[in-house]
Amino acid sequence: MTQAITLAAWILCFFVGGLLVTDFIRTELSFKQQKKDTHTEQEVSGYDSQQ
Amino acid sequence: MTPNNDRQARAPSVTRVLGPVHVWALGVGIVLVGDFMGWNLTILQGGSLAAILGLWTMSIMFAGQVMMVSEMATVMPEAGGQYTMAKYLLGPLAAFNVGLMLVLEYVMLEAGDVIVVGQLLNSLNPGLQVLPFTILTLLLLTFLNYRGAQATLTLNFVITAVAFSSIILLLISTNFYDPKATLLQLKERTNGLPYGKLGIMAAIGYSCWFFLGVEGTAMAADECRSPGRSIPLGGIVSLCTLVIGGTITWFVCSGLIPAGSLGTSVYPLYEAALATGKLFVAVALFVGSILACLASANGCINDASHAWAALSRDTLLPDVFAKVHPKYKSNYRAILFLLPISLAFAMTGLLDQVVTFSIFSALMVYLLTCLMLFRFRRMYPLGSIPRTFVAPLFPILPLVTAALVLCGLFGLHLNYGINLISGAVFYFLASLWFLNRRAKFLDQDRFLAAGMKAWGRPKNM
Repeated sequence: MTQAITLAAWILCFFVGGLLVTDFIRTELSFKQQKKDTHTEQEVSGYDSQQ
Repeated sequence: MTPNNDRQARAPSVTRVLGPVHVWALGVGIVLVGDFMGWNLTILQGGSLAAILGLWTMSIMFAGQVMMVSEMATVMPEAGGQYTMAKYLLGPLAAFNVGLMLVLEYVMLEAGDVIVVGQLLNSLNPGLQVLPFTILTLLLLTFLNYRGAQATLTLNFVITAVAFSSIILLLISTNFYDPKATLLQLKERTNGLPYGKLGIMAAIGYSCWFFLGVEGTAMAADECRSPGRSIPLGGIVSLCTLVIGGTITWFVCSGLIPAGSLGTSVYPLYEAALATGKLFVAVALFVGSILACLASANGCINDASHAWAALSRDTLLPDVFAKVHPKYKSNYRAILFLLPISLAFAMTGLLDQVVTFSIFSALMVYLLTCLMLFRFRRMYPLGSIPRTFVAPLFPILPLVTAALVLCGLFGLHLNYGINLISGAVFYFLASLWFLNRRAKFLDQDRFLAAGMKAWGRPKNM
């Protein structure tokens, strides 16, 4: 019983930790994508103004 | 306690709805955990009598802190308590150190809280491992804060009320009012002053634990209807509540547990409840202890991450930590960055070491607060800028408060001298790093712009 509770606590640790890490990576990737999009937009507008 | 100098926090949209009652709830809510764990180190250091003398002596120091912080915080152009005060009154290096000290004070307190939660669960069944529960508690609270902690902070107040009620229940259950039926045996179970006057000094340092962070009520200045009234009144009433709570805690625990075991207990109030032999009291104190620890750890994660992000926003740290989560609006990078640090300290299981470093960091901030009041009065003398509250008895008040803080530091050094030296070396090295690597990125004019706009140039500088 004690072992099962301890195991459950460890599994929950990995689950919650996993949720945190997954959301963090997703958020960082979305920021990176945003930055990339902004950069591309700036390049395109710069090209247009040159034209 | 939140050194959150987020400009948005000062925006006109901030609703001024808080009164003295809310400020009281904020002050007691953050600090009450001190009654459930950690305070009993005072008995280990100086004996039973030293513990109660230390508690009352330190209450004077905290009264001074509340009044000094109330004067300065209610006129600061940004929210953020001591960090913001240091920013405008002492400069970037001091602000960096105060910010760092606040972060470590909270991170260590958070580690202490989860150590106690793990130990409490272990007390139910010694077969249960402490480590997974300690880590799980920290991860769950981090997760809550990561997703935005406003709702949970509101819940903290309810949790605190339940926890405080459990202390009163314990007091009543001892039949203290009936000399014949009372369970309290103060004469037999206390040990007076085993280390003499030096023991009192040693206990004074740890007595901070009863009040650590109560001066943080001033952080709510922005949201108060009348900061000049609510902040000092709410702060002082919080302090009185904590003095009463601390005295009851000392009285009940000292009367139920022999001083030798009380000094080393991880959860003294819960042990006192077990000593009454009444199941419902034990259950109430078990729940009260867990709730108080969770409420405190939750508040600490929130405060520490706000402080870390504020340092980053002001360019005192690399700006990567200032990023706010697009969905949850939390300082998610700061929260995750501080998690392994707190986890590392929690995994050591060394409650006394963690408590010592937290108290040391807090005492350093308190010392700088005394210095800041002198500087504030010199830069902006009475009458030069509108003040909503004026700290009385200047300069006696900051001098006495500083003397008591120094007594606390001296007391800590008696048994944990190496820890204090390590702490001082850490802050010194951090300052060197700041001067060499960060100071060059600082835009002084932008850094002090809000203060200059609000008060104009200082008179005597």
